[in-house]
Amino acid sequence: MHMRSFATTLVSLRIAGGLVLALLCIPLLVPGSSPGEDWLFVGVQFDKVMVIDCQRDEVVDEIRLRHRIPVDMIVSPDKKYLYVVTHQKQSLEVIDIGKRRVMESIELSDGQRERRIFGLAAHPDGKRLYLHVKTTVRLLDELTIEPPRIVVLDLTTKERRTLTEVPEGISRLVISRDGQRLYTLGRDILTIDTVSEKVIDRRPLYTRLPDGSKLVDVFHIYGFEDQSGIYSVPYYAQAGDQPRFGLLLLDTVSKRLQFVNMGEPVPMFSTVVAPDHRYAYGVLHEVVKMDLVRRRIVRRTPHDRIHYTLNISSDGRKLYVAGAGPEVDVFDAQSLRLLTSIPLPGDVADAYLRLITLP
Amino acid sequence: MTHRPLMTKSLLDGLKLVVVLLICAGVLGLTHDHGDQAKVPAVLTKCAVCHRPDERGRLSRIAFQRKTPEGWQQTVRRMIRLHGLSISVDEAKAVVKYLSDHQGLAPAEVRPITYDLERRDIIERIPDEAVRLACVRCHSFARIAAQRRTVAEWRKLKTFHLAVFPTLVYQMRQIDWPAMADRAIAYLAEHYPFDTAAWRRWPKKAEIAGRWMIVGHQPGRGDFFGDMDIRPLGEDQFQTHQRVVFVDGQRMERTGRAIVYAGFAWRGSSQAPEGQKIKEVLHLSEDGQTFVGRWFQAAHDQIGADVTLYRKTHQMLILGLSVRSLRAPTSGKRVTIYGTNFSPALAPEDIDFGPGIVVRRIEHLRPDELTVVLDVRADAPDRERHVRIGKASSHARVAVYHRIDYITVVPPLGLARLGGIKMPKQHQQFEALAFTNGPDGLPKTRDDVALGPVSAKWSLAEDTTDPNDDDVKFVGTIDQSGLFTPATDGPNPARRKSNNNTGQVWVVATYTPEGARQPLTARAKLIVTVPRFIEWEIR
Ligand code: HEC
Ligand code: HEC
Repeated sequence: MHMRSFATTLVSLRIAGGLVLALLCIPLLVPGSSPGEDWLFVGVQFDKVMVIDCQRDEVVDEIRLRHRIPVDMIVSPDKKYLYVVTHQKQSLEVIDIGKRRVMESIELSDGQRERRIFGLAAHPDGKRLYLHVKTTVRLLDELTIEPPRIVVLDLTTKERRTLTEVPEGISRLVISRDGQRLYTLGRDILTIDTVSEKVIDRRPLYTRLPDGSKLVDVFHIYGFEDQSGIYSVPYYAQAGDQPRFGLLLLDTVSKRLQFVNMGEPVPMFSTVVAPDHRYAYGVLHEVVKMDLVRRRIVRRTPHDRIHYTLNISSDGRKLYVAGAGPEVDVFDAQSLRLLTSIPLPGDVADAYLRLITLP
Repeated sequence: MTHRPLMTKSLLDGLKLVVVLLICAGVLGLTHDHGDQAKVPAVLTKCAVCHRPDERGRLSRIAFQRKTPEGWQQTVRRMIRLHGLSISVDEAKAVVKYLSDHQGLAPAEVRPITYDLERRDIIERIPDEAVRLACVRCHSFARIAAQRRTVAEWRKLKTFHLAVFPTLVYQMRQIDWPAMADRAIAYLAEHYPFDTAAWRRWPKKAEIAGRWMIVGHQPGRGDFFGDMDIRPLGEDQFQTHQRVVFVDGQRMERTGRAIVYAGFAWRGSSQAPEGQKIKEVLHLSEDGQTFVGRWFQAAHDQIGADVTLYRKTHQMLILGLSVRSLRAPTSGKRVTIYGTNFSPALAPEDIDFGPGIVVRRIEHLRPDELTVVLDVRADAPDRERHVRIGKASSHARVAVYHRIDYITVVPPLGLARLGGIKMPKQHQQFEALAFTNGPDGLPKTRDDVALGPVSAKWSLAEDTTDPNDDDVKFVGTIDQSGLFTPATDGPNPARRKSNNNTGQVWVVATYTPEGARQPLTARAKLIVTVPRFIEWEIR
């Protein structure tokens, strides 16, 4: 109900916004020459990863998982493997992208301990994964927990060891392109030096932002840095009685953390930064295009489906958007027009859309 | 066990005996490190598989908590659902009964949260900010305040929630949940301790069987009176027969059954031959003389009645009247008095309605019902008074007024939930109440006199929260008894963006008092929201 009246108040704003947009005649994207072919991987209920050829925007294959409900997915640095979290986050399945099948499944739980993966990242050396693991301990007459921890998984030996314990509330791990810094994203951002394996910085997020507003919510749920190298999620802040929103950007190349204020709030569940770093896109009830340089929304189209997540093609021209239904919607990144809807054989399990560009 | 006899016998015999004794001890669980199984109450045997007894036979976890029957039922259900406890329905009921009797709450401990047990939708008062922030998001505060635990057991709730809901911290990301939960739990441990004088002193036994007199009020329908026979049916179990008459003359009879927990917590259900199943949640007062609570439809708990039961004795007792207020001046007004043991010898002058009211005659007299004809003089003061017959105790009150000055709608903020497809609809009953301004002549001040419910005309109006607001067309309908029935749940293609039929509207009551030219109006806010997908025993 709140959302709806919110959306209608924005109708008037949208008209004004349209005017500004026409006057601005914003510089168009310079279409980049694609370095290869894009492939989209999406987890589908109950036990599949669908392979979508982005040249044709069609499903070309499906990969059967060993367990149900794929919820999180990352790509190996050499783009040969997909690591998919399944089985209520208790298993990690390794997909050979070339062979399009599951090679092995690493089970985390044993005995009375249920271990669940809440966020993972691959070191660029291709030898290790970092997992954020939460453990439930099942005693005879009590259910309890162990402190959450960052675990290093050696991909050769499959051995796991604890790197450090971390506070509750971390939902994503992001690693710098050079592999030297691992960021844990939750109520705080911890920076871990992957060489010394020490926590070298702890930045509380729920405080005042550089512009004086007070942060009230960050949606660390889906954030994809695959194409741009910039991890981004929407945040909501309050400046006096003025609600604000913007994007939290974590640049995995420059290692810079930035809050880009976008003005009056538009409800968004997740965002993605375009490869050119000029624009970003967000989704929920609408598909929204934001200019990161001018710090404003430049275009928005309402949509009758609710979308939770999106990814962008390597040339920045197409948006792949998913909700909880059995399809991936493809939008033109320039006009935000719906180009096509790619039907899937089941509902999107958890909206992780990994887009890989293969030579 | 003494070792001396073994020394005097042959070594072999002695060893045999030791072995036998050890085996017995092992089988019976008598060895010290396994606690004292023999002291475990038989009904809890199945629990003891996982909950080990200590040397006093106290089962781990279980022995250190107290809660309402609903609370115990919920815990046992979770043992079945999450931990594979296999138990029959009858066994489970016996466990809940045993634990509610032996580790329940005392009347004074239940009183602050009866609204929740009685299924009243009210806005809770939460005494602690940390508790509000950390705990009252997924369930009510009452559900927590309906428990008493040792400090260790309160603390275990934090890790329990983190273990069962690994995503809780993400849902609650706007606060530092683990730290806030620590503060909340410190508060709870201090204010809701396991060991209290109230519980230790509570005798947990009361005589309940017999005849009870009923006084009730069903919003939207009116006051009713009657009696209930309660007959024993086994330990703390009862069979009931109720007869009531509404002030509009309608009569109703129901039969039912009930269980009484901890000597005072009545949980019953009853049904008229072709009627709805009614649930009864009542609590007996410490003096054992009155039950107070609510009856509600099992399927729609928003529809129900406030009920008080008084124990019937040989004494005359006045329960109430067919009216809540009388207009001055009036002459020849018929008023029925409900009660019990009315003497056939009663005369008009025995009946006292207070200053300014004269009982002219008794028109009709039965032991439980008596109709009088009375006059209200123009000089009768505007106020509420007790109606008395001699020295008999009386619960009957009536207010006198010269003019109805305003009406109000209760509740001032209603909540209904869409339903009918995935979940049952949650209705909201409204009621219009009349008032006169009282001596100061000003409305809504302390000295105003409440005149009781009036039969208003009901309608809905838009509560405009944005220029295109059209909720009123979709949320549902209100009938002339003030009962709001929400629309169906799920997306509505006829609505913008196929929204649900949710919304926010005004409920408007219009009433023209006798002799007045202008109608009086009043309104209440109504929020119509999505179904509650999980219905807890205690919300
Ligand atoms: C198969 C093992 C098992 C059996 C049998 C079992 N429980 Fe439990 N019980 C557990 C576990 C595990 C927990 C801790 C997790 C939880 O609270 O759900 C627990 C917790 C509890 C708690 C603490 C709950 C709280 O809110 O802190 C109570 C009370 C309890 N059980 C009562 C019972 C009763 C009564 C029975 C028998 C009718 C029973 N249990 C049978 C495994 C069991
Ligand atoms: C994320 C939602 C959520 C939050 C926040 C939450 N609870 Fe609960 N709680 C639940 C649910 C769901 C259950 C029911 C578990 C069951 O029986 O299946 C429950 C059960 C309980 C029970 C009953 C356990 C029993 O068996 O008797 C208590 C007491 C309780 N919570 C207290 C708290 C306290 C104290 C806090 C704050 C520190 C809190 N809850 C915060 C969801 C929540």
